[in-house]
Amino acid sequence: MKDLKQMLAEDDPVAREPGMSDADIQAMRRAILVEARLQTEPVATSWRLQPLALAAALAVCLAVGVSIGVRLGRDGSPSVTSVPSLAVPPATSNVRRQLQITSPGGTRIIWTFHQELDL
Amino acid sequence: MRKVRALTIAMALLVAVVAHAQTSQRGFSVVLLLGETQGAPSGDALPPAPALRKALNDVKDFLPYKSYRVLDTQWLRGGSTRMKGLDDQEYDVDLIVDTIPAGLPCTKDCVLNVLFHLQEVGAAQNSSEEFGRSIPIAEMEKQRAHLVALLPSAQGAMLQEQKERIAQLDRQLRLAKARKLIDSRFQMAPGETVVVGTSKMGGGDKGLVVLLTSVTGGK
Repeated sequence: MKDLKQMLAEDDPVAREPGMSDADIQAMRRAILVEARLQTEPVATSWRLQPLALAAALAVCLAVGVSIGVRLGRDGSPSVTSVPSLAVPPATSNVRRQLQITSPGGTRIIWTFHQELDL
Repeated sequence: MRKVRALTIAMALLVAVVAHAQTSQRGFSVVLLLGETQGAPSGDALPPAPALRKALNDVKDFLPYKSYRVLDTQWLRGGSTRMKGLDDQEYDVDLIVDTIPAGLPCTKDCVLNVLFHLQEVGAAQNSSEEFGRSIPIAEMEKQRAHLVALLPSAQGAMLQEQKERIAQLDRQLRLAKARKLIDSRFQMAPGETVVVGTSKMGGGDKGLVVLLTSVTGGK
């Protein structure tokens, strides 16, 4: 008495199909290997590049931080002997310019020049 | 017992903070000077405070003025005040101060972030307001020129009336032409004197000089 499992196995058309030829097997293998290589290579590259990217990002952050620090220090540091003039954007027709100087004695002068000023 | 100990420590800290605050920044001395290139070198009318004299001595080589006159002196904790200038001109002074780090009482080692504004009374607050004043100013100047031209032919009561009208126009013109003169932001240490000033571009024979001193208290 055949059970259901045996009946299905005997009537399975796939079982009677001829197997893949060696050429087909090799072609499939090559395709799989190529795909696998294509998939794995970028991942490996990105993992290799990540420390470099991190280092570059850190370097950029440092550069930005240092330049901001230098600018802030220039504005506020009393030890600076001479600070280049700082142009105040003209809010009105009367153009103003501002200059900050530190005297050798340490006293700071913050001077505003007006284009038109009659005292 | 633990509570008592914690309370004692808290009290001790409070006393220490209060004692330290005795040396803290108390306010600002604002001395308004007029620097002039004309006249004999003079500084006799200057306030006797050594810090102010030192500050002026430090900066006099950088400024073109031969003599200095005190126009007004004020003491401020911050906020606004009005100072007298030359020829009845008055100036509004605003001082906005905060400490670095913010919110903490300013002791000996702190830094003060200072915003200093000085403007003629009635100054336009923005460029559009200033532009809006230009037409009435032109009109008033025209009226004034007309009255001045009529002066030689005027006599008696008419002459007096025209002079009064010219003086009134001058006052109105001064208000209408009032400007913001100094608008500076800088940092100060307690006890430091900063010289803030303004003059005409290219020199001019007069300049307004403000000696701003952060006054510390205690000890």
